[in-house]
Formats: sequence, C-alpha cells, structure tokens
Amino acid sequence: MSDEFEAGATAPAESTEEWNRGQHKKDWRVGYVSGAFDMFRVDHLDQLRAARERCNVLVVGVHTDEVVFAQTGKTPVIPFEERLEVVRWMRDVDVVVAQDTEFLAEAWARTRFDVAFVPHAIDAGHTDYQALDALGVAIIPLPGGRISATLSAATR
Amino acid sequence: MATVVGYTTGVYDLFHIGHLNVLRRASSLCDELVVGVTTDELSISRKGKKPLMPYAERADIVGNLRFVNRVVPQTTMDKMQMWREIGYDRMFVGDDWKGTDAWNRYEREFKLVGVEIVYLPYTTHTSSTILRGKVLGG
Repeated sequence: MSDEFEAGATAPAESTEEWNRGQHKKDWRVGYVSGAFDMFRVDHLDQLRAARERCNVLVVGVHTDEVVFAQTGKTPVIPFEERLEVVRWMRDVDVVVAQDTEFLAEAWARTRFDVAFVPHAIDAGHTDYQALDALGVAIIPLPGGRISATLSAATR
Repeated sequence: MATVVGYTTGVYDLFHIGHLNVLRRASSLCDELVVGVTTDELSISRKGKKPLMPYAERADIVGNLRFVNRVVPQTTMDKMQMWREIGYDRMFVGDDWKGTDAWNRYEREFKLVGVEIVYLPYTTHTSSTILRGKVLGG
C-alpha cells in the first residue's frame, strides 16, 4: 500500500456520492478512525459509515479525556467511558479501542491497521502522517458528512 | 414461538449513554425492537422547542445501533394509534411514568389488546436537557 501513497496527493472526496463512486470497495483489511466523538452527531456517523465502506474491519480509536484535553484545551462534555460505549454499539463499527495518544503512529503500534481514515485533507508535512507512511499505512481523507445547522451554530 | 415486537419512543436529541442503556435493556426484553423517534413537529407542539438535531439525523443515529431493528417517526403522543400502525407486543417506558394517570389508563387499554407495558429505570444522570444547556450555553 505504501508504494501507492504520495503524501499530499490524495484530495478529499467532495461528497459522499463521490466517495462511493471512487476506487474499489473494501480496499483494505483493517481500517482505523480516531476521534473524540463528544456528543455523537450525524457527521460522526457519516464518517464511520464512509470508512466502513472501504475496509473489512473498522477499528475506532476513541480519544481518552486526556488526549482531548491535550488537543483542544478543553475537557469533553461526555466522559471517555460513555463516549466509547456509544461508538461501540454503532452497526458500522467492528471494534473500539481507547486511544491514549495524540499520534496515529503510536496508536498503530497497538492496533496495526492497514489504513487510517482521517477527517480532513492530508497535510504532507504532518510528521504523524509521514511516520504512518513509513510504516506502510495508507492515509485517506474522509468526506465531510452532514452536520445539522442548529447544532453546528450552537457548538461553534 | 412468535416474534415479540417491542416498542419504545423518544426524541433522542444529543444521543447519550442514558438513551443507549434504555434501548439496550429494551432490546434484551423482546425479539425485535422498533423505536419511535419523535418528529420535529411533535416536539415543537409538545415541548415548545425544536430539537437541536433534525428528525432525519436523530433517526439515522438511533437506526444505526446494532440492537435497534427499525425506526419509525413518532407523529402522535397517542400510543394506541402508533400500536394500530406497528402492532407491537410490548411497550417500554421510563419508570418515571409509572403510576401516572395517563399510564394507568394506557395499562388498562393495552391489556385489552394483549400488550404489556414494561417500565425501565434510567441508569444515568446524563440528560438531553442538561446537554442542551451545555451546548447552548457554550
């Protein structure tokens, strides 16, 4: 997989329709998505669903409260155990794990996924992505997903 | 043995662990769980406020849970009308409703059509109202 990957070369899909048209279904065996999933929303669901379309087993790394705090400077509204439990029961999710690091390359050391689905355009200079690439892991940006106007306005 | 169809309802705005626990418990007490998700219109007419997440999004999240078999729009508070449409065998309600006039009456009515009402405890302090306050309060 790593031979095909050029950092920064993959543009994110504009829409879910474009995503579903693109490439082959089930391109990878084990896929990985990570996030806080604080107050589970429909755009989270869209991302999980899009990721599941492309792999046989979808592992979701739920950020611990410490990681959320390190990344955002805020404590999540919903505590870790509850965020993990909600994600665990989604049909599109096969396995949930605690992600206690900000870095995907460190999460890979435990989970050994073939592809990391990331929720934004690839930044070729990102050291975490470069480390993943060196490990032979594909990095694929996910389409944005829906987000409700009311909730979006309230949370921004 | 015939399939036992279970039914429960809610708004499920800002989906949280309390919703999850009640739905899981309900699904363990029937063979097939149908969930009536309150429409935006019914929520406005009943509570005077629009949910933060529109019906389509709330229904999509609830419908993606492994133990939920089907989601239907709850367009009326009249449980008997919903029963005529769905034909469930068992209805799950939060135990805070137990003993109220409305549910005592439902118990008598539903007994006549062979539907059992099961009251489930809420096992968490998290509530949509609290979360809504946090979201809107910033």
